[in-house]
Amino acid sequence: MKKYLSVSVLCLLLIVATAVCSAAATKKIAYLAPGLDLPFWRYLANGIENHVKDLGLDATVQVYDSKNDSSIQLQNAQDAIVKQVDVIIISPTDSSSCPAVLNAAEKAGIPAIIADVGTDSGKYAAFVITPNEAGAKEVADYLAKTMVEKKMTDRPAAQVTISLARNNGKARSKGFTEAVEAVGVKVVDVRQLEKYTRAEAEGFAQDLMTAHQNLGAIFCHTDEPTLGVVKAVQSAGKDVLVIGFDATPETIDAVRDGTLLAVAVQQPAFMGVKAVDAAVAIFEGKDVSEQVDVPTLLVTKDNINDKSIADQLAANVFPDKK
Amino acid sequence: MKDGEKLNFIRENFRWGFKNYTTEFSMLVIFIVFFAIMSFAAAPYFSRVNNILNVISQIAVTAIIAIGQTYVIITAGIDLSVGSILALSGMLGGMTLFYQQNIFVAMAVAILTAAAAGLFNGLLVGVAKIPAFIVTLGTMGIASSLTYVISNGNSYAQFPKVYSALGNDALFGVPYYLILVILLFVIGSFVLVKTKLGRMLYAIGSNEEAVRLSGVNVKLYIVLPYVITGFLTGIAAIVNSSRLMAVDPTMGKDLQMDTLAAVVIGGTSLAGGRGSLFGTAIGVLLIGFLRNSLNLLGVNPFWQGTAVGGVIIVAVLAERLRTLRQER
Repeated sequence: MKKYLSVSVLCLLLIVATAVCSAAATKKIAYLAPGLDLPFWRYLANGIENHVKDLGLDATVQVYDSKNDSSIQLQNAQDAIVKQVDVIIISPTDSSSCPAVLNAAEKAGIPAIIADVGTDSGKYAAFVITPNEAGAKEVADYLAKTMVEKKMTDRPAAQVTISLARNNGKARSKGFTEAVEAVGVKVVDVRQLEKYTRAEAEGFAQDLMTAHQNLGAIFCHTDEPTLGVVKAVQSAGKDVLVIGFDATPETIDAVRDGTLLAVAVQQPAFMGVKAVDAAVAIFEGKDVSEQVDVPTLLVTKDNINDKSIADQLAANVFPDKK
Repeated sequence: MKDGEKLNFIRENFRWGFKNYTTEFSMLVIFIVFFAIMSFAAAPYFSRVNNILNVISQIAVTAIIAIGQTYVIITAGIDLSVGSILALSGMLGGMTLFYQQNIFVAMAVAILTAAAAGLFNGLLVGVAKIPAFIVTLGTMGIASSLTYVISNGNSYAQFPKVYSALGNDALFGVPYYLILVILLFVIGSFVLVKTKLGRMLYAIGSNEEAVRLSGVNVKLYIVLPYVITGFLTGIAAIVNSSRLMAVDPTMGKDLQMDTLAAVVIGGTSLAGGRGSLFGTAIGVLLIGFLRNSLNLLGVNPFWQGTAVGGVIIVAVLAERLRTLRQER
């Protein structure tokens, strides 16, 4: 009994030892990420941490992983509240799961800042969001222009979408449809992603090209699946133009290679920066604007070699942890 | 009974208890040591009352389902489908609540759905004699997929305000869900220790063939624990949706692993025939407070799985070392 008691005590001590002992700081910031398995949220977290360092703030940042589970998200929020953090920045797992966290924070008198996704109800200090419709319209306008130049406007277009039950899906679809219909291109088909993988999108794109033999363009709503669409078009050897929304470094390479026409890139790290700015304003007792827009960055084969684009991608989209 | 006899009686009983529940007692000691260390390491937040209440609210759902899981594992079975059944019954209950705004109908829908799923598991394991691992793996896939079918991947909220009482309100400072969990554990322990059903579960777990040869309706006692687990999962689904005031199709996806871990840490043997709800309660508490203390200490979320997994292995290893020494 003594032996394994000491073993277990040793283990517990090890756990304590792995803990990052935070030095006494004046401010504590908690960031609740919906799932650190997606690069997007890791970049957002990096953006928050880097900006706190850049500003030289006397503050600590702790990142919590909700593992795409609304009840873990609430647990993490409770733990953060017990630690008496000064602000909670949250990217909710789902807009319906956010009110529970906002209510808990309000009860404890802790201000909450929402970064992306949004909430169904509840009080918050600021909401940092990408204008999805404007971003989709901007990249689709570029597609429309290219189709006019190539005299392809008689050929239809199709979409591979994220869930259209969600507001961001609806907005991206609307922006795209408006832009291409303005030059007379018909949107003939829509497939909704369920698994959000490359393989799923590749299958969708193959089916779309089979069903509509003269298809001219495909708009894919999110990063990894866009690469699946590109692969399907490549293997079929068709001159179907592909545009995307959101990016990983690989998507940017695809634009450079010319297999992907253009992409509207959300700027997760920049969203983190804006969230920290809002937190600082709260600390200083200044007024905070309730909605903060972080526009998408349009990356095309025309501007991909510009230094300003490369700099923005490095700083605001795919930052390393400093 | 004279005083001396009484003392002897107590002593004997205590010895008996200690001999039969050594794993449970040693896990209790480990838990107390852990709690003491964390009270210093994660001071001042860890041992505060509101933190302890938080953790209890976080483990309520796991605790309720772990009761059923313990029953199933004592019969040498396993239920991998609890998380998906929680999602399915919670989603059906939540959608009923959303469209009908009637709390009682919604709760009945959740509990009946979950119990029916449990019956489905039980009949396939007990009557059709398919290994529990395979049956519940299949149910896990089916229930999870049906959750997406009925909800179309959407989440539902905007429930009547009173619905939040179970998951958020308290009676004289004691939260309702805590009362519910304690009540269920007391009833569960009573059934396990004092009733025919409980003894049959242990007997079947130890030697199913012997029980069958003595003329007992074995099928019944194999089906029942799965139905009980389903029923409890339905209750847990209500607690979960009341706490969050929303349902979404990803609910409960880690629950099968959490309940299994709690039961195993609590000394219940996966081979069947031995275990107790006291041990399971310790297992649930240990996992809950461990996760909480890692958050309070600010441990990188990527490391947390290693810590929790390590504790599971150490706990089972400690138990293994003990039995090895006994055998020698």
